[in-house]
Amino acid sequence: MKRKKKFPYIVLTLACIFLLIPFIATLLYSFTVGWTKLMPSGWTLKYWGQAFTEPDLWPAILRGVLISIPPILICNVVVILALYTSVVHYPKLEKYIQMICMVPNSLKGVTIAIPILALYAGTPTIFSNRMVMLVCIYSISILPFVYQGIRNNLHGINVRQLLEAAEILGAGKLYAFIRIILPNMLSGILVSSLLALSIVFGDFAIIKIIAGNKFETIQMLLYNSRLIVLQYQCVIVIIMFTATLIISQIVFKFQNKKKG
Amino acid sequence: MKKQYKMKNLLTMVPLLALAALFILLPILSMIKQSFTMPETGVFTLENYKAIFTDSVYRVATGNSLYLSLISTVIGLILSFLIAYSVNELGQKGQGRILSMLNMVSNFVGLPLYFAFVVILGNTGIFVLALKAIGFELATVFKLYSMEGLMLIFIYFQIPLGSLMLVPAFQAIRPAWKEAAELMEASPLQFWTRVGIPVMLPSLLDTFALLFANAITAYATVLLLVTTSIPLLPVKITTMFTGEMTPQREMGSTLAIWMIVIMLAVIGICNLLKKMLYKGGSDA
Repeated sequence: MKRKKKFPYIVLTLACIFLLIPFIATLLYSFTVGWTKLMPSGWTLKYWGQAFTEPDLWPAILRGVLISIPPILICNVVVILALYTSVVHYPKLEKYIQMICMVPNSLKGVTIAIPILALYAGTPTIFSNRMVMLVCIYSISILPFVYQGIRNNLHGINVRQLLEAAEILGAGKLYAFIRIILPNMLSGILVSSLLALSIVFGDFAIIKIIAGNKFETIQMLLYNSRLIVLQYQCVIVIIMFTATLIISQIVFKFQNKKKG
Repeated sequence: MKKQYKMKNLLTMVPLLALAALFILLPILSMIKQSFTMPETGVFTLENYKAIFTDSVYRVATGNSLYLSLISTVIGLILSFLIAYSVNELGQKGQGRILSMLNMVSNFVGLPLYFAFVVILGNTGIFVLALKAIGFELATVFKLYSMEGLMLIFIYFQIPLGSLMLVPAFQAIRPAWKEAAELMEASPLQFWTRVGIPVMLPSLLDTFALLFANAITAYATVLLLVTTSIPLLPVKITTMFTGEMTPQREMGSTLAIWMIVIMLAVIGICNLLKKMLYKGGSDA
């Protein structure tokens, strides 16, 4: 009985140590003057100051947020339109919508960026514009996350009964959708949009392949700084990590609240 | 009249279909077409695919990618299984803490993860130098800029993902089953091999497929860690389209399709096994 209790704790302690070491080391290292012996040779805030006064930092973060807005809007509208119709009129179609939306779960990063680049680069279409291309690729990449968020939400609010009730009271279809269904979906839209934001924010492969240095997000900033002193990169890593952490904690809270 | 009404409703499906057609279907189809095309002449050919199996450059890249993805997935899955099992043994409070830790670490991927590993295990990494200070050369047994280093980083990012996917699967195993097995004097090992793991097999297969797809497409860490010293499919493909050299679209397309085929094959096998399992279950 005693052995049975010990085992999980040993496993989890080891797992925590392994998983947290890289993170803690990065954090500590960003404050050091140098670390060439057993212990760091001194502490400094120099590199944090350097990072925060770096003129490229905030524009880079802002670019990451800006480039994620059009895909989030496009993806949400497209998925809501399709799923809403299927839930209300054609429940059988949902299977196929799911199939389409889940494709980017396997086709991601390189495998989605390269085919799109190969097809549209250099063509006279609007899609040959790198920014448009980026928006389109991100719209596809975030599809599974947006789909799951919207789907859970739509299934949770019993759309059909709400619609029937609204119609009995004399509301038109569009009115009912905008005034009743949509407000009920807000938390789902928010959660999936935040997840999508963290996907775009954390992406390196797609931005590197499609935009190269023409659109410097914080990921590209970090990539381009790889030859500068390591402490500086640690600061950028911690900043990026904190940003994604905040987003994912909000999502986590929201999801758990719904379950409870 | 009725038909028209239906058509009107289906209109709302069009944006999704258009998005999927323009940015998934068409690009992939055009890529398949390119992969069967001879460079310059544009004639139909199977040469590109033949090259994958005969040209040593591509064979090595394929072999490396497969080796790295399969091993890191298997090890990641086993460790995730142990972690998810342990999480399930904890109380509510402990579970919440570990889950949010896993959730936090699951964001630690790509470039940031690469830099974190450089800090601890790179040429001037703190572990490397600390060990040197006490008289041990880590480089004699482990180097970050090598296949082992890649493997370690890959396993690192597989663990939180795998664990987060497997925790719900453990929750599906009812305590009553364990009690029943105990009453019939089955050992814990017997319970897990005869009841627990078979019940969880569908989730394990799903997780395997996801982790594999994740590993084989990983790009950032590979690009920075081993660039050209260890050829791997994602970097090889990308340089054929965006590198400084003249683009090799046809061969690049072939390699990209090849990588997608490998990925789909693994996902397909997992799904097939899952189906066979369900059938076997209903027959018994």
